[in-house]
Amino acid sequence: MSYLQSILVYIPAVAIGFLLVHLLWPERGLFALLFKFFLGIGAGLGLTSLLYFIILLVIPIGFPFLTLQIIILLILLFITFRRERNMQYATRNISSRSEAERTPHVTHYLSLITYYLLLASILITLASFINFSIRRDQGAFDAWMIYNRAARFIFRDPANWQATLSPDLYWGFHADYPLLVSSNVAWAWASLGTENIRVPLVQSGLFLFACIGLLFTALAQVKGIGQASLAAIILMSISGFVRSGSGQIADVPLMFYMLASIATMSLRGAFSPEAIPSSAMMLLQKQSAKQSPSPAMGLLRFARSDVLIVISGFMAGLAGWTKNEGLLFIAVSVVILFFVFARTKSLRSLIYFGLGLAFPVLIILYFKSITPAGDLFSGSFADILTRITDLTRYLLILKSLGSEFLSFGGWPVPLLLFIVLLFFIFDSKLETEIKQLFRALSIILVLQLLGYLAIYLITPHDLSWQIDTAFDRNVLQIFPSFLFLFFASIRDFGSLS
Amino acid sequence: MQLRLRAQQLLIGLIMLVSLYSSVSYLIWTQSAGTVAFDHVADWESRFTPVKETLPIQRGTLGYIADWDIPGADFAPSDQDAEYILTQYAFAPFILVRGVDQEWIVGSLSPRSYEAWVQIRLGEYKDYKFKGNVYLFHRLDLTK
Repeated sequence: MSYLQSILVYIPAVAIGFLLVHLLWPERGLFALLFKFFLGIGAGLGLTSLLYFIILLVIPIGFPFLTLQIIILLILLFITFRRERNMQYATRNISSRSEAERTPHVTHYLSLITYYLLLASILITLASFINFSIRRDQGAFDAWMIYNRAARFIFRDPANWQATLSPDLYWGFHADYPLLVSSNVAWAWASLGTENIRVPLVQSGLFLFACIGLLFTALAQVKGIGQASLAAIILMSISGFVRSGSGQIADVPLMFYMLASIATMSLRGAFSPEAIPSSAMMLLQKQSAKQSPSPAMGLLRFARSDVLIVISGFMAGLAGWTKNEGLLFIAVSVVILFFVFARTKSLRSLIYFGLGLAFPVLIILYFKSITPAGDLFSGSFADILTRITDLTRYLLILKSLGSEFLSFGGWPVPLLLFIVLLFFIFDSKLETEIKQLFRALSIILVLQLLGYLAIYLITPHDLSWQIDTAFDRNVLQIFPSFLFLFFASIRDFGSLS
Repeated sequence: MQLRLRAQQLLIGLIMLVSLYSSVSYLIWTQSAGTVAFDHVADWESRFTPVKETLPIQRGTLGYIADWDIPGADFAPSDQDAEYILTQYAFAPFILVRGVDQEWIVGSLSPRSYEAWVQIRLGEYKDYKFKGNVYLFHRLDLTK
């Protein structure tokens, strides 16, 4: 019963996320819809977390948050219903064509095998998740030290919830960590009226399987089902990924939001006006000429390209609301996208990205103004300078990076070796229009990794301890986004026939 | 060309095999991840339920002492660290700070450590003893 309650309590949030994404980006096609469903899980949970934080600030006690969610859901359902009815005629021809063009089919036997192995991998991952969860139903060490602890502070004493941000707390409790995961647990407990330990477990599972689904459906749209399946199989085989996803910690939500931001931005490249089939564009133009442009038509044209940038910005913002590492992701994304959009004279796109980013970033800025400083930047400037100029730290970091790359994933043979072989045997295959965007997104990931290394350089904690406890998780945070960009860049498996 | 095609097929096949092997290995490992029907966290937490019921306050900051605070006591630092974190988790929304500066202090002490501590702090605190080597100390003189 407690499992069922924990699942039911998150349904409105997930549905709100899906409907919002669907309203903003009314792309049709099986994989587009599935992509929006998985994206909607993160969007919904991110949005409810932000809203709950505002409610905590204004009316911390007795606010019927679940009722509010249901009201929002009903409004969105009504709008969606009307929008679907209005768009039915306008997009009938276009969607039927684009659906056929954009829904990849399983045509090659190797794609078929990977597809069936994907189903087997999902079952194994589900079994691993359940097996781990029933043995450690309160999650990993960090879950009760940081995330569920913060959720308890909020749920048990909502009037004084800010005690969870107290500088008196031992630094290991990380009072400065953003509250996405914790606040979702807290509002769900408040809605159920009890501290149900299955709630964080369900949220963790939602993010785990949404991350897999997002990677698969994003790749299925830009490449083929074979590529998408293989990437998802590899992701599920990384032991740290499933362990983090079962451990009720924030690493998998963070990787979800980073992947969501990167994937939606990539889809924007794939679905930009230039990428829309000319036949579809002609139909759109004919419709526009016959009648004055309806809001639905306007949305369709806007949605195909620019709305994805807004969603990408929102997802990047939610990465920052999930973990401090997400703040670095926001910073590098903004800088790199600025250069890309400035170079292509489309700075308007950066404004769209900023639009999506604005709400989470405003919340994060306020949150950071009331939290104690993080432990990583403690110490004087002279201390930091001493650490930066210590060559032995560089050597240790580089040595750890090399060994992490070789052992990453826990495979019996280094995964890196397979990645390199795949790259050389399959070659890169990107359309010229999106090559620049993909390069930029790859640079974001490289800078994210370099940012982690820079933090190791200045950390006041014992460097070996810090590397041992966090480095593999840092690499893992980037990995789903890397897998997406990598498999989207290499030649399609269909070319094997 | 044919050779390249075979190499591509072989590589994908190998990746799928190794991926599945890794996934199954992890699934097998999860069998040893803990004991079903025994929740260590809840078990630790249950030791402190009577302490929380005894406390006359609902929120605020509590002191925390354990074997690592007693001179000469035997302890494993990692165990002490984990116990402190678990105890803070149990006591939320109280803030648990290490030391004896607070009016109320939670103790997780072995019998020897408790005896040693009582000798040091004789008469300064009122002791409440609970099962499982758990203590609550109330400072008598709040002006100190």
